[in-house]
Amino acid sequence: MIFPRWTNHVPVALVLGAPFALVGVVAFIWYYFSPQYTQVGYAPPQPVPFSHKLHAGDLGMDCVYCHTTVEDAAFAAVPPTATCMNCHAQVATDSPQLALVRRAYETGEPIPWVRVHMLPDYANFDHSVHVAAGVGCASCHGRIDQMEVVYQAESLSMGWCLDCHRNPEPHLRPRSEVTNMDWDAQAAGYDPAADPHRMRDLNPPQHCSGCHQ
Amino acid sequence: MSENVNKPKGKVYWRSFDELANTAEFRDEASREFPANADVFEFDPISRRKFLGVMGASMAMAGLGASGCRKPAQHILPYNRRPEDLVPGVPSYFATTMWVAGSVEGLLVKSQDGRPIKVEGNPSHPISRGRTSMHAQAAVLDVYDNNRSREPRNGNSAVSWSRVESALDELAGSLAGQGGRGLALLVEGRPSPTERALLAEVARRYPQATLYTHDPGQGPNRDAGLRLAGLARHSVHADLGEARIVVALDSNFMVEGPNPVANARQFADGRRLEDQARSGMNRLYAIEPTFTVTGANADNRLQLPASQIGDFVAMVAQRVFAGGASTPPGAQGALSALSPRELGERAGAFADAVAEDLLAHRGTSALLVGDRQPAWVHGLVHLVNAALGNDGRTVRYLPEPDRPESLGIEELVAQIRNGNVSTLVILDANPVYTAPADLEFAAQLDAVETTIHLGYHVDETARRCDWHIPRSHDLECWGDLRAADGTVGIQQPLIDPLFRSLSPIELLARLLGRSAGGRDLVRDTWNRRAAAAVDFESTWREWLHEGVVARGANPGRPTFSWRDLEAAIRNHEALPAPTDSALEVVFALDPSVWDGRYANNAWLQELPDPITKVVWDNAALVGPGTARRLNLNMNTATIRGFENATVVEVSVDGRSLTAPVFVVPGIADNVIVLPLGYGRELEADVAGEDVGFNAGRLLTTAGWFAAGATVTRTRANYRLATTQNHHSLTDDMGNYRPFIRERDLEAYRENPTFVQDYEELPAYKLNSLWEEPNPRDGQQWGMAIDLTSCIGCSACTIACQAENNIPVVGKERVMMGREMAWIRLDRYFSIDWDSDDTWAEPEVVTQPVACMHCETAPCEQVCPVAATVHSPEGLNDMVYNRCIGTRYCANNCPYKVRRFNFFNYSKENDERNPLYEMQKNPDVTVRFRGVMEKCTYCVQRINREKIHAKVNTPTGVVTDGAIVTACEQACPTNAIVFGDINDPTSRVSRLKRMDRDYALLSYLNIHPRTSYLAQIRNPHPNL
Repeated sequence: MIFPRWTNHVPVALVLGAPFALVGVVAFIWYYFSPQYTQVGYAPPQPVPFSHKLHAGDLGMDCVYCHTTVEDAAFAAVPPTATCMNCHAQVATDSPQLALVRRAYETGEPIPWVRVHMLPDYANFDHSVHVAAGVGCASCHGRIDQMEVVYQAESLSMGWCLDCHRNPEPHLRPRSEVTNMDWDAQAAGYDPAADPHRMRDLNPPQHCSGCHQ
Repeated sequence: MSENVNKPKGKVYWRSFDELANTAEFRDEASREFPANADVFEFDPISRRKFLGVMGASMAMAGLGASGCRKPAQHILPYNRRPEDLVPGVPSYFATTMWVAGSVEGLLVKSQDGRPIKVEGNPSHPISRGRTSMHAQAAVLDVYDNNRSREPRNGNSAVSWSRVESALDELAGSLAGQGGRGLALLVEGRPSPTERALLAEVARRYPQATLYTHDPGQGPNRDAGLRLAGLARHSVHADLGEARIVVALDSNFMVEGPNPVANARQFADGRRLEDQARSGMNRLYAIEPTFTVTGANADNRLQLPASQIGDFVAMVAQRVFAGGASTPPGAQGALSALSPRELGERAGAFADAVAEDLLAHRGTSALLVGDRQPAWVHGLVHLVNAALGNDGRTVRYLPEPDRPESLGIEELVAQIRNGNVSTLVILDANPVYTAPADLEFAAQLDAVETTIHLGYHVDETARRCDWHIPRSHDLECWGDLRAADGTVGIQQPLIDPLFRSLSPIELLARLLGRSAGGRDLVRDTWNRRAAAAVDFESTWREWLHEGVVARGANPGRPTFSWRDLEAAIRNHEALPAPTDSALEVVFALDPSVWDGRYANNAWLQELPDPITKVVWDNAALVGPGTARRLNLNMNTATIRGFENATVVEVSVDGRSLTAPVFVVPGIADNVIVLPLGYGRELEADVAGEDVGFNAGRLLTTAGWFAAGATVTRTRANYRLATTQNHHSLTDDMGNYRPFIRERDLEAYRENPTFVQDYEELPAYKLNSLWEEPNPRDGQQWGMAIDLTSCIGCSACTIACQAENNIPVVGKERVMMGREMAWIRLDRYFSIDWDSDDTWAEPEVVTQPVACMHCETAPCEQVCPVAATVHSPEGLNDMVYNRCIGTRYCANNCPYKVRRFNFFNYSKENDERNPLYEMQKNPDVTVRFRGVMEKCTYCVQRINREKIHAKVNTPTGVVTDGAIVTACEQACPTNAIVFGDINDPTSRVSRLKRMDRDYALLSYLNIHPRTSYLAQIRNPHPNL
């Protein structure tokens, strides 16, 4: 007898266990390989401990004060150091946390900010058209005004994009509230179809070349 | 010949002799998706080794992948002080002007984050009007040429800039002491006001210095001919806006000469046929020894050896004056000196027809002569134009009072031989390569004490000069240029020189002992010329913004003097007519690499020649009659890497070379055409000695054609890469379908719906197996290409390559059918079997073919992974990330427009030339190994305009003309029109409603979104 007797149970165990194992593997990959798991919560340390909570939340600065290009360009550009110095030439002028900012401003060596929201190169995202459509900053970036260190709040996966592109209405707000972080559609009772400032139906692309070009 | 499906008028269309004869090789190639070798591994053993390296690297990457799941951190480096008006990621456009292939074009260059990445025409510039030549499109790649000269050299070793500067200062000092004795300057003679002002200053400061010009792209015959007409210090250019009859006498005016972009546009505008009256079509006669782009568009074309063009002009002149044109004062003698040789019956009939048309269109006709023809022919053409009243209207003579007195390169050599030159400064020119061989220019350089060369490459001349100084690219330095019509523009740099270098004007200033920068030099010139009352600073800014300083005005009719013409005609030495044993050699500028200056541009090297479709090589061209007598191989199928070209030895005047032969119908009998510009002795990645042969070794000061050549067949063969058989649309049996639909104007008027006669299936039989989509919601994109306007110049192909990050693959891979160009130009020859002399008038039609975006696209039906799908706006989208490389789509594409990345071509390109990455368009995905790609209708431009409309307009609808595809934008003749076919008022809808509109392979019922307007020619009724 080459195989011991218990091996007789192996085929049965395999037949009974395989579906569970298969479901387990699928579930494991489904969850742990998804952008929801791998991307959300990415909060790399930044070279300057800039607090969005302090600036956008407590001080109530509008997003567009720094991210000036968001309304008319694809990129919501990180502000030039000169924007920081608008205030910090007078405020907290000798804070050690701002040493890198001051040095950058003097030497011209740029501050190496770390990108938090990374889209792949083959995906073409344009901020301006989303802002024009009335998609709030918070819809994709989360409550930036409550983040001490900025982290990725949403998965930014293609499925997540399409969820909104297929049914954009719940994510829309009046143009004036785009940068308002704690605006609530339900509380405001906003109906895009009844908004007199909206002159046309939204028609967000759902085909491949809408974003991949 | 096989029986063709359609054979109207006994006319047959074919791309190669293989196809005409329907050889087994051709059928084999036509029946395959790719030529036989396309799916085997690379021939090159180095690549195999590299493959192992790549495999090793991917193993290492796999190991890395397990240890870190997250993408590497990316950094954002913002400006510290962002320049005003600069928005990161949004391109800016700067107006400039450039000297491109012998002419001046006004350009608008796209700058992406400070890097020039794409060239467009400047809409404000009256020559360009938003369009460009293919050389202008390719210029941006030259900026990122990996082999450009990076450091100054002395005695062939690199030296520091401070040494160059001190040497130049020393030279300026010593020259000043001797009044410039022994100084010779050799320049290309660009029409740059600042350069000319500096040259004039050199002449004042150093009265004993001498100036010479040498540029093969604007041969000395043009100026000599003008002097025979009494117009020294004038330039001549054609303005074909009013021209109804154009006679191109060995002139390739659509792509060469002083004004090609405007001339091509004006020619096409004169035959637009967009009104339903089908009236007002101009007529082009071409009389030429070789087959040029201009000849391909002629309504009537006559093949004549170059040596007989002069006789033909004389015949026309005699008929014109006999027919009633008044003889201009003082021209009697010249006319009496005419004694044309008998050129045969056909040439006689041709001359009759030309003269008749010219006399009927006085003032609205133009005779244009090419630079290859000797001065007396130019002079005679000026005389005929003057007698017809064309001067000042269709042919314009622009006075150039600022043009400095200069001599030719022959005089320079004579002065060197006499020992009168001790310092020779060469700006831009590469005379060691381009000067006539009998001058032995390389040896002359040794006799000069000090030689200084300013050039873009360490080229043939640079290596033989004492000093070599790197030259800035024209997109990197300041300058100014006067276009053919007198329009002046400022050449504005897009970027600081990538490597420290000087511009020609900066070097000239150095010779004058000034170290001024280019900007100051140009500003100085214009500050002095600007009216004192105006605010110069704001005027200057306006000029820079518009790219135009002053528009050219019609200079009016010049004052001719025909005094010297008679002697020139009487004294000209007539070359004997070519015979079987003593052929005529004709030298030609290569359509892509020109005189060799663009030889290191990979886009241009891989661009198929407009007529031969040869890439990465030049070839000696002969006609089929000559080829048969010499027993040369006429077939070119490159499958299985056959050596398809016979190598011949060409000897003339004791010089000889060997060259592979390519047989082209329409080349005059017993003429062999040798394109210049190849066989460079350049240490470069792209161009080198093994790329083509140097035809210049036979070129002498006697001129650009020579008689008495012997051509003998050698035992050697050569592998010539030509794409003429690639992507053939014939069926598996090699049968032609009516791809080209063509009529003469008269026949078209009689039967305006003739394109329908070609339909292979009547409309009621075109039924689909499934329900056909009928997407008529919103905006639907489509394209119309007018074959009557398309001249086949290939600007679209290069524009597409620049816009869409299309890699080059090299000669070997082109032979395997792996070229990547998204838009190809199918060139069809046609001959008429019914005519008495089949080979007397072969014609050419060029058809641009890119993805047609079929509404029921066959590619979409067969993709197993839905990597190619339809967009609601009618685009056939290609999704690179889904593509797994089955290539079923390419196999099922009837138009053969899909291109497969067999290897990581883009990455290979970038590894070979790290600078190349800087040119990439960030809006277009760079494709990697194993994915299919094809024309997207420039979806990145569509999306940009759609977003622009959504953000800025209440309707969100893109207006007609806002989206311009790259090919459409480059096209000098407006042959390509893109737009919304759902909008009945759009330009593309109007074109598609015309009766000439037809779809390629319409019997397949796949509803291509690109359609063609039939080719119409307007031949003389007697010819």
